[in-house]
Parts: sequence; C-alpha cells; structure tokens
Amino acid sequence: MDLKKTLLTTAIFLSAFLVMTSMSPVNAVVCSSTTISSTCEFQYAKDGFDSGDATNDQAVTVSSGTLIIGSSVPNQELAIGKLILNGGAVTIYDGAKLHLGAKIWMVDQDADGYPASTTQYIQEVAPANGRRKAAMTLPIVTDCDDTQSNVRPNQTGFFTTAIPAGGPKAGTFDYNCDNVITKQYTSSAAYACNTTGCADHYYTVVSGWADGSNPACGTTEAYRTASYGTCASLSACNYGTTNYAQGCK
Amino acid sequence: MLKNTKVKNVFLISLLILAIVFVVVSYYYSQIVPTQVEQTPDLTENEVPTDIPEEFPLTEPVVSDVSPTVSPTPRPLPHGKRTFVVSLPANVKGPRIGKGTIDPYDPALNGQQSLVIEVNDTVSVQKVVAVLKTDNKTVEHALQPETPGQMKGNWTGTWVMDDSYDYTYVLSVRATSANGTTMADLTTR
Repeated sequence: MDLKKTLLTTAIFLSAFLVMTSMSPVNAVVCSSTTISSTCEFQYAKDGFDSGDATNDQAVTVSSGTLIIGSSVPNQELAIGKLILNGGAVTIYDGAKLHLGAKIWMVDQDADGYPASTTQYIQEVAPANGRRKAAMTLPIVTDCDDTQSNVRPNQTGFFTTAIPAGGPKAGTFDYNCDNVITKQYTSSAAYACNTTGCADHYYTVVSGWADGSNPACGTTEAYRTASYGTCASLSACNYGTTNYAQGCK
Repeated sequence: MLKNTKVKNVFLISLLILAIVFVVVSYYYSQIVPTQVEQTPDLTENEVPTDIPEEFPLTEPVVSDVSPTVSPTPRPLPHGKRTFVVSLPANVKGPRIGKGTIDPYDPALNGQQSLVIEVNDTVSVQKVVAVLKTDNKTVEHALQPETPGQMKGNWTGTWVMDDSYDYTYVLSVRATSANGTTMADLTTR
C-alpha cells in the first residue's frame, strides 16, 4: 500500500513536471547577441543591432551556425555596422535587405528606455518621438504608457500620487506596467489596545494602522507601534506614531 | 520517521526518472542535430565578402499561419517558392554554396518539396546533402548534380514532407569535395 502511494505521488509529480516543461514552445532562435555562434534569425520586419553612434558601427560576428535573413519574415530589413564572417554562413532571401552602417530608431516619447512598440525604423533621421535603438533599456519590451517616464516596465519605485493625465494609465498607480497594484506597505494589522483583564499584569496591545486598515494608494495614515505597559498604567495605552504615505506601483 | 522515509523515496525515485529522461532527451538531440561545418575556419577576422548583396529586389511572398489548430500557435511561415543566396567566409576550405531555391517553402503534409542549390569548387564536388530536421525526425536527402563529377553547377533534390514542421523546421545543406566540407542552414523555426 505504501509502495502504491509512493508510486502514485511520484507519477503526479512527474506529470506536473512534464506538463510544465512541455508548455515551452520550441521556436527558432532569435539573434540576441552580436556574436553569433549558432543558427539564428532576427524577429522583426526591421531589426538589427545599433551602436547609437553617428554611423552605426555595431559589428556582428558570425563564428559558427548561420545568420538567416528574411526566411520567416519576408522582405526583412536589417541594419548593423558591419558583418564579420569568421565561420558559419549567412543566408539571405530575396527581398531581404542588409543596411550596413544605417541607424535604427524606435518611438519612445517619454525617453524612459522602453519603446511604444517593437516597430523599428531604419533611416537617417529620427521619426517623430524617435530615439536610437541603442538607447533602449529593453527594445523588445514595450511601454504601457509612453507619455510618462516614471511609468515603465520594471519600475522599482513606489509613488504616492496617481499617474497624471495624458496616457492610457492615467489615474492609476500601475507604474510598473504589470496591471497589478503593488503596495509599498503591506501590513493589514489594526492597532489594538485591550485594557480589560490585565492578564499577567500587562495589558494587551497590537501594533497596526490607527484606523484599522491598510491605507489606500496615495493616502497617508498613522501607524501605531505599541509599547507594553503594566496594569498600573491602565489609564492609557502607550504607543508611538509614524505617518506613512502609501506608495504604489 | 515512516513519513520521512516515504518522502525520501518519492524524491529519490523522481530524481532517478528525471535523470533517465534527461539522458534520453540529450542523446536524442545529440543524434539528430546535424553536424556543423567540419572545416575549422580561419579565426582571422574577415569582413563579409562582396557577394552578399546589400539590396535585393523586393518580392512579395504571402504570409499566413501554417495551421490554426496546433497549440501553441506556430510562428507564421511564408508561402511558395523562395530564393536565397548563401555566403561563406572567404577563406573557408571546401565547396562554395551559392544561390538556391526552395519550392515550396511551406509544403503541405505529404506534399513534395524541392531544393536547387548552386555549389562551386575548384575540384569535383563529391556530395551535396540536404538535412531536413522537422518536429519529429531528421532526414538526409542526397542531392543530384546536373552532371556527374561537376565542379560548378546546381544540385537538385525532391522529397516528400512526411512530418509536421510546426515548431522545428531546419533545412541545411552540406557540400563535400576533396577540399573539405561546407555547410549552411537555409531555414529555421
């Protein structure tokens, strides 16, 4: 019986493991490094590596494998500084273009390093609100509100005022673009002081929010830190008070 | 104590089975991944040869999903006949793989696919092989020259796509002559 249970538990564990691993799709490797050591292709219709200089001089070195251009993405255009073939191969499909030295731009109106979309522009002059791809923190991660620089993916700071008007996140506190409001102060304890009974010669106290609940984003509330007292001082509960403004992201 | 022993047993059996799965999967992939270029390239930096065109004339292949029924949704592939050019390092020893055509790029299951590829060398090209890796298997197809023993010219092969390629679709060409072996991948998915 024990063996059966053991095997059953093992089977459940392994099934869960296999289901989790099978959820990862097997897809083409996207070129993510300027040194290519295994076969890869770029992801977008216009793509490449940008040095951010007046002339894009970002070299791409193929050491092994194949850099494939325009295979899955017809008429793909790539911009890089130069292509160095130390090994491997380059396969370019008809319709694809390789722009050596051309600049790559992305639209990033609030200049926070996260583009409004993954669309890239290979051209000499900046498009409206365009910034060089090299200036992007993560070019493939798009901004949820390109009008406010404090609103961006991976924002670690907490804010006590709602996002200003002008963008899609206006009026909310979703500063880190995850569609979930995360509070800076998470305690939900309510301050309490119980003077009845006076058990063991001490009154019962609990540290917590003065009004009994965790404050909403942007509101300031007193947090009382109780200090113990003896029954001799039952006339009042002792506590310290600190005001906290609830930050959120 | 008994409970701890049971937990320990579950853990050990799970580890054992996972180790077996890992070994089998590793062996499988090590066998089906096609051999890379056998010729060791000169590590001297070589800028890309001039035979890589900067601009190609635009053609307009149509793009659509291969199949809407499989999950997760595969990356879309272009349809129809596709032409391409392969560039190898200037100093690589072995046949030079050049222009080619895949027709169609996205054959139906059990449909025919053909490959024509230009291979040039200073000596007779001995063998050109297309290695087709799909979702469930890897198959080598020997290509045929226009003229036996040719140094320059096209090599052709036709085969039936008898496996799905929703998630894995790597078509490679490997060319061999007395000068060495060269290889290039033509598709990836």
